[in-house]
Amino acid sequence: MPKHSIISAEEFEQEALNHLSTLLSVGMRFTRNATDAEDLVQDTLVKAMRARHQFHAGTNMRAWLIKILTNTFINRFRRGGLEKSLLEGPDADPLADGWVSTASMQAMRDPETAALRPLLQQEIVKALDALPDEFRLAVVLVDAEELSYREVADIMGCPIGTVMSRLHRGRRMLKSTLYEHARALGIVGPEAQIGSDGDEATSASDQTPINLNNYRAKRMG
Amino acid sequence: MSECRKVQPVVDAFVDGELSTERVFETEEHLERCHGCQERVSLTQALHVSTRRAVHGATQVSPSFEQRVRAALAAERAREEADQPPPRIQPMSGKPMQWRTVVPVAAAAAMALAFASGKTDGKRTLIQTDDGQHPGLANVVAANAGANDEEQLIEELIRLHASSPPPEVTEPTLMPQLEREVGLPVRLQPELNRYGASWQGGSVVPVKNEPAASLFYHIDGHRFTVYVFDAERVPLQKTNVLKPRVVRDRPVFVGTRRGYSIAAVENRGIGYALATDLDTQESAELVASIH
Repeated sequence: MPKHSIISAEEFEQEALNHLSTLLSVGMRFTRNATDAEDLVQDTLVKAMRARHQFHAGTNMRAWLIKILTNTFINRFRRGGLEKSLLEGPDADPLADGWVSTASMQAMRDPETAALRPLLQQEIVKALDALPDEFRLAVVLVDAEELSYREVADIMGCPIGTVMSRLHRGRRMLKSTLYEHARALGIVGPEAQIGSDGDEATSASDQTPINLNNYRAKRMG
Repeated sequence: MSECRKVQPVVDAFVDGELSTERVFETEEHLERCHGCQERVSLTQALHVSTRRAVHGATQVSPSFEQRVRAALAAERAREEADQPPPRIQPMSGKPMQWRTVVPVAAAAAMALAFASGKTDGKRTLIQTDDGQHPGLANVVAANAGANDEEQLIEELIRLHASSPPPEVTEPTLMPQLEREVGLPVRLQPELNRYGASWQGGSVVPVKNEPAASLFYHIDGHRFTVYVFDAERVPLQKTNVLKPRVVRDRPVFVGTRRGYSIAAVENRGIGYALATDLDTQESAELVASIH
């Protein structure tokens, strides 16, 4: 390989530092604390610098850096890798998610900004931080970083179906938490009945974070 | 209603632009007719936008952090340049090396020789290096060293670990040889085996110009190096560059450099420092287990 096709240390550093803010934002949501996030990001950039010959100039450096960051996070904080057993399997991901009425869904979002009703940013961060790692990672990578399912599957080292399942469950938990918050704020009124459509009613246990015993009981049943 | 059942599972993929064109048309057709599913899509979109804003709005890069990262990358570049070609630390071989390595290595060799022959009182030995420009004193007592030296010492331990030199000794039965050269009781640490660590070998290396033992271990896809040194001559725990914490009632001194962590303890006059790519908590745990 000709030498000039490999990115130089200076070029690499310059380009990588453009992504510092993104990496720190993602790192913050992964580790949920500033000290760990900074260590994680520094670690990531030093590793990336060392491995820069594996980076193909002209390709997406942000996604490549996020991949290193995610792997470093999983190796460092989740030595056993991400949980799989609880999340996979057909009955762990029921089709219906009619957990709230159409009127409430409408009330929660703001048509002007295409975002949620001005829920405090802190509330969203709090709800995000309460998610189990595997869900949180998927939601952050897809929603905050707008990576494709394929890229996230590659980064997390799992099939695309697993990404979809983690994302779906993560988003549903977020919606559920934020719905409670919106209710407390009076943005939405109390539900007359959970599940506005007849065939959408979902049992309450589907909305709560997975509990191993519940899951087993369900499997056994 | 049964259409809703088909659409609900693909709401996420629809919002994320991950559906095939055919499914997009099908879904859009349904959405035109179904207010409930429209709301599902809108809410998912709204959540996406809000999450993105919240994640990026919640964090700001401080100037001090950016500086720290730049320094880490500069250090890594310097290491790369210094390591061309990759260093082969061979304390006893006497082959020409870069001066930064030669000074401590030569000192270590001299010390090792002195320990072996018993002819020295362990005081000052002047070492002249190959290029003659960087004389070093063998027995510079670490306690007199400034913070800069301490910083360098930590860097050196990390660098030695990172360069992963081939061990001089790979047979446990040859450990007494290492022990003689270092002049300290050096033994394998069975405590570490309980964590699943496996010993790969050991060498004599210079730590603050003192011969120290370095023991190489593998653990669960990672490496760590345990340095065994004279804690009085190299009072690593008294430096300001490592921060104290308590692990199982023992004071452990930890720090990170360039993505590596280092953790040190003292036990009856012998210092143990562990350098690794594991995190500080893990390195502190491992080093605290050494008795």
